[in-house]
Amino acid sequence: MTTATLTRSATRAEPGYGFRSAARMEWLKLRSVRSTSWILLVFAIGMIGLSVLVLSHAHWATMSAADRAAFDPVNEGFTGLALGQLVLGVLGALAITSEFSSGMIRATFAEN
Amino acid sequence: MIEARGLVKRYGSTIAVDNLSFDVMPGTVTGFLGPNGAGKSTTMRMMLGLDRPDSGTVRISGKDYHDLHSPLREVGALLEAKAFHPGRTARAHLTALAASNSIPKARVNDVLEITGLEKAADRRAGKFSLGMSQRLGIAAALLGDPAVLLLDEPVNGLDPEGIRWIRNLLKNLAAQGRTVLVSSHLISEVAQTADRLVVIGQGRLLAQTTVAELSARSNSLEEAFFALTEGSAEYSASNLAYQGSIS
Repeated sequence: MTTATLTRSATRAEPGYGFRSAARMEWLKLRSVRSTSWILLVFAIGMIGLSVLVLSHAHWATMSAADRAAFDPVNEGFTGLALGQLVLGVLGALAITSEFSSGMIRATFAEN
Repeated sequence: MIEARGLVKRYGSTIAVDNLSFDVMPGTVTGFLGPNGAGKSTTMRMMLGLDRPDSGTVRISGKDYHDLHSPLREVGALLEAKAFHPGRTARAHLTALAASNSIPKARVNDVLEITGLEKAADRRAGKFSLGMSQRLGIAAALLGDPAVLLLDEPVNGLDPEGIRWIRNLLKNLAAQGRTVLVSSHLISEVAQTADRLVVIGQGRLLAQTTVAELSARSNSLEEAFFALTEGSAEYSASNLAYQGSIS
């Protein structure tokens, strides 16, 4: 332990505080837990994977004319979106509930 | 400096803090004492704007907490040892807190060094022992290099070496002209560090004094403390000497 590092003025250099610093704090908090990367991985694989799965069942060559007319590849390509939204919802919910369960919420609110 | 004036906090029909007024002066360590349930934590929460007093005010460095521009730079607080995400490393936790008040990143290393956590900085904080968690909480309190420090039961869970460390740390911080308020329910512990005392019981101010003055009132500091807080504990201690006999 050094007393030198305890002297005041060490942190007086950079004023400014507000939405930007709050956003930076949230970004750092989001990035620094493992659940975030897991969820993003599940999000990407789930969303792309589900769309690929659905579209892999469509076979243009063997479709009837009526099916071809009704076939909407863009819409079917978005099938995974619903799942993806759900997974991202989990990310959001985890980010805030962990604040409450750990008590970190006090610091988050007290400091902003 | 902390100035509390006529603080009142009710929870339903229970009065947690009852017309409490006191000053905490800079340059000294002030012990904030009272039996369990006396209202120490509630008072500290009101100082930090986490609880709204039903009436009265508390000012930190002359301002209401909500009017502080960069609160972490004005007042550092340790309310609960484990107030962090268990999956986050100590460094990440402090870095995020620093970002919220635009505190330079280099300061994170400083406080890790002050609290002796450099080696554990990149481990997940959920794996920390209670003593290390306390150190991390103290690191967070020191992050903004604040003029006012509020520590709620900081010695809980610290080993003897840690207790000695925190005593020296608090004395050093006060010697630098900071206002240091340390709550405890152990008079003997506080007497080792504090010069001044604020004693409360059932939410009311019982004494605002110095350690020397209080210990002069009775044979021992502990006896003087018990005489002061007698009748204000949440529970009755009349059965202190157990009357029954074994066998």
